[in-house]
Amino acid sequence: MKPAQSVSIIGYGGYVPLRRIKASEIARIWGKSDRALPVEEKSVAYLDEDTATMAVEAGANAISRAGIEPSEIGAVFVGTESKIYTVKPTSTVVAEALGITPLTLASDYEFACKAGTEAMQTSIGLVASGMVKCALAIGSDIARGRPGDELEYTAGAGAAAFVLAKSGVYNDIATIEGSVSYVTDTPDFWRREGQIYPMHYYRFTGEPAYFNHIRNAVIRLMDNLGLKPSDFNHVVFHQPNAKFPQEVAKSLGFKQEQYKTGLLVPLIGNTYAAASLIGLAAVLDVAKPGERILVGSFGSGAGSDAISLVVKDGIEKVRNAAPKIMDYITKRVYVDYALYAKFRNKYND
Amino acid sequence: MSAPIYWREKLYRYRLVASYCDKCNKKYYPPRPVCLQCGNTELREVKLPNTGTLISFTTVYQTFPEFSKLAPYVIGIIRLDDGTTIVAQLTDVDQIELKEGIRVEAVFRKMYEDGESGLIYYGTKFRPVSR
Amino acid sequence: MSEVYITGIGYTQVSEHWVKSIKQLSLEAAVKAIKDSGYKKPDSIVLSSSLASFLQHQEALSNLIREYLGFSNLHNIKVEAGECSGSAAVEVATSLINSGRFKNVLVLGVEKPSDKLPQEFNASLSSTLDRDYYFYNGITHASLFALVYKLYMKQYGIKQEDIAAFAVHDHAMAVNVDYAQYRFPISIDRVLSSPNVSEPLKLFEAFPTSDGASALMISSKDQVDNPDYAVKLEAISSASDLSFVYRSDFLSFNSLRFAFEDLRKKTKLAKKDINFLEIHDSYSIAAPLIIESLGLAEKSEACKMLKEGEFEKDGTLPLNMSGGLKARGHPIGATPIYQIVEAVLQLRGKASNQVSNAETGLVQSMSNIADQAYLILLRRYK
Repeated sequence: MKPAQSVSIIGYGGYVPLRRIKASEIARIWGKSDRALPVEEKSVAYLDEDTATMAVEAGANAISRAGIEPSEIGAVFVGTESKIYTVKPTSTVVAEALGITPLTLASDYEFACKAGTEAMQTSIGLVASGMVKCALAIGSDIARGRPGDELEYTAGAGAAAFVLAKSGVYNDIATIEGSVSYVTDTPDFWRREGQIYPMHYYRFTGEPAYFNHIRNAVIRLMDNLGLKPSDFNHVVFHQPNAKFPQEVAKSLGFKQEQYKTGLLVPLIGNTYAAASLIGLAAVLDVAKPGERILVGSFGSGAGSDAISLVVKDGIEKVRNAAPKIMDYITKRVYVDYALYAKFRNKYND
Repeated sequence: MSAPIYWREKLYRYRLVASYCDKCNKKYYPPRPVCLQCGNTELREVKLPNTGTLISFTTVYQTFPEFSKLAPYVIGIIRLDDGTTIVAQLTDVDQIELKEGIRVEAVFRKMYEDGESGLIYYGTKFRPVSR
Repeated sequence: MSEVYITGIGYTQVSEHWVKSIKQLSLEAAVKAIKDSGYKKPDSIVLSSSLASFLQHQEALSNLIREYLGFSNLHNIKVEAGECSGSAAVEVATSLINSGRFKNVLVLGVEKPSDKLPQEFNASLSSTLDRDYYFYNGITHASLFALVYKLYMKQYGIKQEDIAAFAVHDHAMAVNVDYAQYRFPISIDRVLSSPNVSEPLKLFEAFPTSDGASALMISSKDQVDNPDYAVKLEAISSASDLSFVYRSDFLSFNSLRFAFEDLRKKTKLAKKDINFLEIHDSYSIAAPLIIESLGLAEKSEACKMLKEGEFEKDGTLPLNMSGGLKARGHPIGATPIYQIVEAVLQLRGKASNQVSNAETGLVQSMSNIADQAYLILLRRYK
């Protein structure tokens, strides 16, 4: 997919909560070995944080870098699987807090971990059509880990936001070359209404879901654009654990130097709808003009968005206008399982 | 709390907006319609700076039911960078030695929830800048 | 100012009253006051209760109490001004008599915080501040005083134990006061090792949960039939100040300063004329701030005066002979009435901690952190 008019990212920003819990601490509680754990540690949102508060901080950082008035934004999309209300948009709270209301589109997107890139895809289309001048696409999640389940080790919290506009109008940070969305009805991970924790089908989430969809999307994208793996300086895949993104990268022909900058899951866990986008933000924090970036997100249910971007000169001016991803990652405070359970409301009240 | 009451107060809670009296050069947060110094009724909306310095603080242990799970939490007097003093809640203070004079910045956070089925209330808190 | 007198007093024990309701407490205090006045029939009841709406979910309390007291038809009105409700009620009663409308007015203060849980009481107390701001941000009544506590200690280099000593003083006074809630002495160590309410403010530096009702029969001069027993309401002054968030000098209780200036203008009152003082020390830190804001001590000197014994019964300024808010207790709407009860006992020569030659007493009450304040000056009948 290529927009009829060129579209660029003109602002980006992220947010990772302060607190962390070590995977070994979780293993200790459930009596599991602390060897071969899927991550080192993951981020833990505090009692006064939620999907909206994280999205607001990420969004504010993105708007700072974009250097625009919030009212110039005509659409706010929050991709999440932890909406603040089941019915009532997270995006209206976010839009209000950022000063974007009232003349704006707003809605919450759900497609498990690829809701953030879905938000980005729609934003590209809206902006290219001229319907809005700028659009704000956010991925934000506080993932829920069922106590004792394998996903509890990785269910993290974080947000990332991107402001998009037609290229050449504002300060272009990175231009969208094209994208491919590859989607099928694949039930690898789901949550029914009224349930607190999701269900997943263990190893079925691997080859038939994660690997299949990402590979298909990325291969088609490279075909369409006439590109090969070595044309990319950076590649960011969805990261449910440390193993999967490295495996899919290798199987597609990418090397460690290409994926290492965007691979943050060992330190913050899987931030679900924010995961690929936080990885992209981390890459933009260091990428040089002219470099090419590939983003391959994955959302259970299932689908993958593969997006190719080229970094522009504008990045140098604004990189330091807001905190970088590593600034958030290095600021951390450890909590034990008891505090983690308190913050994440795992005690039956 | 009621939905209309929450909704009509949200502007200054979400975005640190104050009332400004240009006759006295005085800012009021929370905002108000009449200047307490000169009686001017034409006060303007102004955005306050997001950063400031902590002047005094206290850790609250005994509080209302709505804040009990959050307790103990910190309340502080903050002098924002434009000289306006405000009183607000602090957050993310774990393992920081709180002292008068530290720099703090505004963040958008949840204040409390009206039980399991009621509304979620948001506002502005402050967190230490340097870590 | 016309001449208005207190001709009768009545009060219940200050305590946690599990058995008695707000109505029953009111009846007890009212009956005692009416009897003490020589069975005067009140022309009106002016009721003071600050938190009954929240704590008992009861509105229009004065008309309810009127009926409970057995009056099928009687003028009544409820006065509410936060923690100064009692003083405001006295002011309203005084005005009703001054205007010539009534001759005898029963002022009744009552509060029952123990009917709700402590956290709910905290919420109701914080609702006397701007609810949209203070309650919303989790700013408790105590936290404002705690913020000021630290600023005070830092500004003057005074240690917490010197401020907490006011709580020790209150308890020492209350030992002899039959209606006080806590009639035992307390050591400074016990105070300082009690749990934090809002750090550094300790539990035993803060007023307790107190239920109580107290009443005054206020009468015009021609109604006084026992001059030895009557006490003159010499003057009432009241002032207010910016709420805490708008202040620039947090250590100045301006409302007290304004009220005292007004009182001095009206009565030519000088510090040496005050034979005893009852203050609204909701927390230990409030005491020095109140005394200094009234100009009865130089800034930072109040703690020194306490150490030097000036606030003792035989000191230069006997303070809180009733036990103050900490030990006598603080049944919010009734507190100012209890303060006046102690003043009346002193001026009649019938107090437990009797100040010798008591001629003039000053009663200070305030709402929250001096958002609003009242000063009431009382004299022996002359």
